[in-house]
Amino acid sequence: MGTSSKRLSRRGFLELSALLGVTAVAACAPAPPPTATPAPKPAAPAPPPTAAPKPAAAAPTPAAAPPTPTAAPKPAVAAPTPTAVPKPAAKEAVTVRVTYRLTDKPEMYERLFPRFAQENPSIKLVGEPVSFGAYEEYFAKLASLMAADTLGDVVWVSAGSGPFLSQVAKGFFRPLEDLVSAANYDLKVWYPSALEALKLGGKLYALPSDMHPGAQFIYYNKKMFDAASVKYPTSAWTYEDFVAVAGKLTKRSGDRVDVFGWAPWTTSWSQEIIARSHGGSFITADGKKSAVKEAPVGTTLEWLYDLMHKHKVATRKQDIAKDANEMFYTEQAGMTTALSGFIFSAPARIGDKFKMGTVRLPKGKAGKFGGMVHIGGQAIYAKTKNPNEAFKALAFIVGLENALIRALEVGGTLARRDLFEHAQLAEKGGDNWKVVLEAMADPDLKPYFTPDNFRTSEMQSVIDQNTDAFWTGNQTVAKGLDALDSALNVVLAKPR
Amino acid sequence: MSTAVSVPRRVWLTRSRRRAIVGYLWIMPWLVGLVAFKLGPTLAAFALSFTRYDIITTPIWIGLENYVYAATTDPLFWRSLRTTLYYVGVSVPLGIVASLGLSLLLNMGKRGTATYRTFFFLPNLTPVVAGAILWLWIYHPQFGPLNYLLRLMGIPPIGWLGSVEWAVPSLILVAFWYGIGGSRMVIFLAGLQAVPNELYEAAEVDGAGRWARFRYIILPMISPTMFFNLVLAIIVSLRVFEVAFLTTVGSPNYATWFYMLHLYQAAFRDFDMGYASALAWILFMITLALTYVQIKLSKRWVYYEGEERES
Repeated sequence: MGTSSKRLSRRGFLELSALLGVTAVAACAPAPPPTATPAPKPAAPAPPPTAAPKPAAAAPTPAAAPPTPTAAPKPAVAAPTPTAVPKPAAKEAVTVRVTYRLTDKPEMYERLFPRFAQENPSIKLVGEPVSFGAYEEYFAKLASLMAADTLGDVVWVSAGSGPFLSQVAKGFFRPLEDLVSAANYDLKVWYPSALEALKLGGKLYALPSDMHPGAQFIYYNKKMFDAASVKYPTSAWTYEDFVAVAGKLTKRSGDRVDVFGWAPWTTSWSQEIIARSHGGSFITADGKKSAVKEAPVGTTLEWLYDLMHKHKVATRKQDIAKDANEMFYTEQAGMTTALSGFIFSAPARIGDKFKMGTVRLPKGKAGKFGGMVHIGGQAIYAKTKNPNEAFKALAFIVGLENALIRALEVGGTLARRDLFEHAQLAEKGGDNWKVVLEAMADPDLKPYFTPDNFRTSEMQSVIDQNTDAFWTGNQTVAKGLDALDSALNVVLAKPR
Repeated sequence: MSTAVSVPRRVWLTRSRRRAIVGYLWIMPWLVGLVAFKLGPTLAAFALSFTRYDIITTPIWIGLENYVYAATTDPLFWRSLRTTLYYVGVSVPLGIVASLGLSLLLNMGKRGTATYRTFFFLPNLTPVVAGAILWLWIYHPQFGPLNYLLRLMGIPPIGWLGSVEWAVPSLILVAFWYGIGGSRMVIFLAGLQAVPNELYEAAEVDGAGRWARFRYIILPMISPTMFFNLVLAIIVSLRVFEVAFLTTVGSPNYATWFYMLHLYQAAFRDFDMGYASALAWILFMITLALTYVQIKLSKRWVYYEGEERES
């Protein structure tokens, strides 16, 4: 023996492991907030909006996930600014963190921030996008950030399906009246219904962001209408006209339907629209009880049921995959339901196959069109240390210039009159856009059906799942109404 | 002059203690992970199950209210449990039998076994999201290949994921595709290859046919493997979630509203963390109970070599 080779003993190995472990833990410790570190962002061209992400409360249609050139790091500390910000002259810049949905295209936000910095050198904006793939992801993340007291200063929220109003009631967002008057901000640019939807107890808690007037639009295939010698529908059409038109567009081979007259959305959103046109709603005005057993909802559900199972001109649940609009793109349905943003997103899917027209769902027994405000907002976290700066950032983000870019490139329409009536949107949307403007100006356009306990998502799920039994034909409306009513009341009776 | 009696000092750090400490140090990384990421949250969930908790405000103690609500008021608790047990009751036996059959074929030692084994294992490597998108296309009522084949045969198309009757069987088929050639098959194969050849030879000499060899040699010898696979399969199937979440989200009409989906919605859609924690603990107790029953029943059919049994 007499070799000088050293073997690593167990003790030596343990000591080495401990040293490596301590080093690893030290390396994983949060880095100190960087000073203006220029992290160069390549000027990635915005991809053409093939599927516009739904404005306001997210719709079921998945939006194409934008390929972010560089992903903004998840916050524990402020992320580095995307481009070199001009150094503030006298004092250090105040950092305002902006939390938004990933589907709102980080590159679009990151383009806004340098412009803001030029106008406001004492404020540094830091973007923190959060995934919005599954609806719950975003709001669960926000809740986690709130629990850890690390939520951004300016936050995108949804007054429709999300828990925003519930979180307002618990004090997590601050009212904006004092900031509005301090900044002399003119609220008249916004649709009044949008502002109303973001109020609780008479106080405004967010400036409006994306808005649309609900799933009240019927998009139709002009080529199929021409082939069937059917006149294009106008806003004067009735529910009976609707059935007749759908019947003429439907093509069959024996018992099998090859082309449907209508591929409807059967979600609670669209059902509520029709119920409102008949003067009712799924819930009472105070949001505490089910109103399902009242005539307007029964009329709504029976009409939809008959279209599917009696007249057999509308797709049932089992006739479609996840998205009813797909039947429209592929010319297997002459009409479909969708939101206002469909005007901008559908052409890329339709291509040259046919031209598309837009009309609102007919007026109901109450002599009204149904309509429901879906609104997102930009709110300010209650614990922000810089409310005035946060409001400046917020006002800038929802300004007209940015709103126009967003509408034309992403497809989301902010609830500004001057945006909806803007010449560029009118030019891009054509006659179809005029129908949307008519809907936005409707005095019967009312807020989202939010229950008193703010359990909106739960309520919607109950309606969707229970009414599925009607759309599959497994149950008639008469037999299923009681179950729907009691299930809804169980949810509405839960605490806030 | 008195002589002091020297008392030997008690040494605390004995050799065996030293060994034990070193042993614990070796497993410390795993122990820390277990406590921080498994045991700790599990115990926290148990405590939270007795509270009303929405993540952003302080938990409020409500005692057994969550458990009582689940058992007596929540219309989806029993429904989701029934749906899950239906799924387990069909998918587990089907999966076990199919995996065993496949491993028997692969154990025959024919040419290309390694290739076939890899081929059958591939679905197991497919990410769940990609698999879900693939099956959404396969099940597409208008454009999917399954309905296309049915139409070719003159059979009316099926709604698959959009049909109340077919939604769960459709998801069972997806699980079957994932699981048939996965780790279960590999474990069966290992069990089959551990069966001593002498037993086959002896059986052949005694004139036992293929079925007799399978029934009296293979099955008893791989019964521990089968038991292991069965226990794991039941535990995993009780937690069915991903594919349902990605494809149907519980629809149509709650047909695929599995227990874990119900739990997820309670936690991350409704922010009822206290109730979701109670649901999690209920599932844990059910899983524990089922595993205990299986262990007890295993004494009747699982054969361990060298074990003494009452005749």
